[in-house]
Amino acid sequence: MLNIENLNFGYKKNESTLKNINLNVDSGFTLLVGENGSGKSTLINCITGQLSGSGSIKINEIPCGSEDYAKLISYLPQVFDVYPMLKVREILEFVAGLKGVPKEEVKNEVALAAQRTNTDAFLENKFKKCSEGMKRRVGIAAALMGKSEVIILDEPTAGVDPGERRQFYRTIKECFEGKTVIISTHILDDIESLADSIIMLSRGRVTCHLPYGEFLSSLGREATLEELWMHYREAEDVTVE
Amino acid sequence: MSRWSKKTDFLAVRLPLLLLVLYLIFMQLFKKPFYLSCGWTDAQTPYADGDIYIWLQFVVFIFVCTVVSFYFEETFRLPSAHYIGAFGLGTFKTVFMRYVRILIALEAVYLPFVVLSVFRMNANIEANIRNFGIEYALLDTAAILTQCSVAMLFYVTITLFLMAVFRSRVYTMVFLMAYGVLEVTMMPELLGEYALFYGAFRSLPELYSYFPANTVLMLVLTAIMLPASLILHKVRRA
Repeated sequence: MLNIENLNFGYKKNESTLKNINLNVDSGFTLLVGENGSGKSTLINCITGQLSGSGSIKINEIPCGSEDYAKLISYLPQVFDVYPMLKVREILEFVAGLKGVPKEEVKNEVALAAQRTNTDAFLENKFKKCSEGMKRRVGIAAALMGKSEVIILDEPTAGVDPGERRQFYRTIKECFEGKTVIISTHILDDIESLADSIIMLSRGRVTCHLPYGEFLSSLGREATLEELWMHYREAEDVTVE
Repeated sequence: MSRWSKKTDFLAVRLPLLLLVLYLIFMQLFKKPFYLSCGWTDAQTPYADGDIYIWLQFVVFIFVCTVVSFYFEETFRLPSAHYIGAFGLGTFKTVFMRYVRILIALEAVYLPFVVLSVFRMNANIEANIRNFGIEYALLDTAAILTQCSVAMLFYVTITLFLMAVFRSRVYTMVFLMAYGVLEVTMMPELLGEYALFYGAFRSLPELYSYFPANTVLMLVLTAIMLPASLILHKVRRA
């Protein structure tokens, strides 16, 4: 599905923010974890095509940078805040246009996405007047537009209370079933609730890429997520699946 | 194919655009903007003096900058620019094509009122100056249309440029308003005929010229600021 080979990236000439990243990510929920400054956002920006490093990134063999690639990927930033003065329906129609949904299908697509995310009752509400939880659901509805195969969610539960977080997990599990979903987070609750597999980044390197079950038993004993986090944060060797 | 919705652009600017149209209609309800005093310079060229450029350029400048800053707000404001950047639309579609669209739309709204204004000024010249029995020259509609269309081009471009620099509608508008105050106060003395609103404040408008000095300056600045805005958008997308 998503294939990354020999990806290197630096913001400055002699600096390496991402170092020789090699990943194959299949369908399911993959949690991209790592401490602040580990390169998670940079990797996401590379995958979404906003930054370009050396190496290759492909989805189903379609290279990053092409219009077809952009159609296959949906990105939901931590703060979904585009045209806040418009109504929810108008925002979703705008995103549908950006995703290349044919004009005659936009209305249906918006209605379907709103239905799946339980935002259909709020379509005529101004986005800026929506609650934070509702805004996140609108963001998910936006990510459902088009025919995306890879969904990238950047710290989607940051600043969300535990109750809303549970609701959010349910919604994204229902909406993105069968897709390749990459969620950047450093919230352990996200990992426990969603992870099918884990990618751990530390200082720009992949230090672990394992199915969640193997990740939990990877130290050869029962370990807590905090212990695993600390272990792989310090790990020097790249431990790729 | 990915596209930037024209409907969304319209929804984003509908209120300031409506205010611009209402202002242009409101202006036509008065006689004062179209009063002129005419005469001949020592070099035997005609001149006309009045407040028309305050009404037809300076105030319009404020409305146009507001419209354009709303129009490009989501293109440059950081969280939304970052989000939109992930859809793979290039600078050409995101900025340049939309710049052309808003320019055409604003010129289409503005220029008919310019023509109407010239018609009313000429009617005043004919009706009043003739009574004094002095020789007079009617205003050239094409010359004023040229000046005003270049001015509109400049207002749109400078707002785009400042939005690309500041990535904020508020900073852009504060900067433009501050510059507007300078034009009302000291710029005519400092820049002379190169002041952007030359002819509006304490100076004689060049109503008989196609390309007065300030119009030429606006064209030159536009030629610099437009590519600079496109480059800024391209390099700062992420």
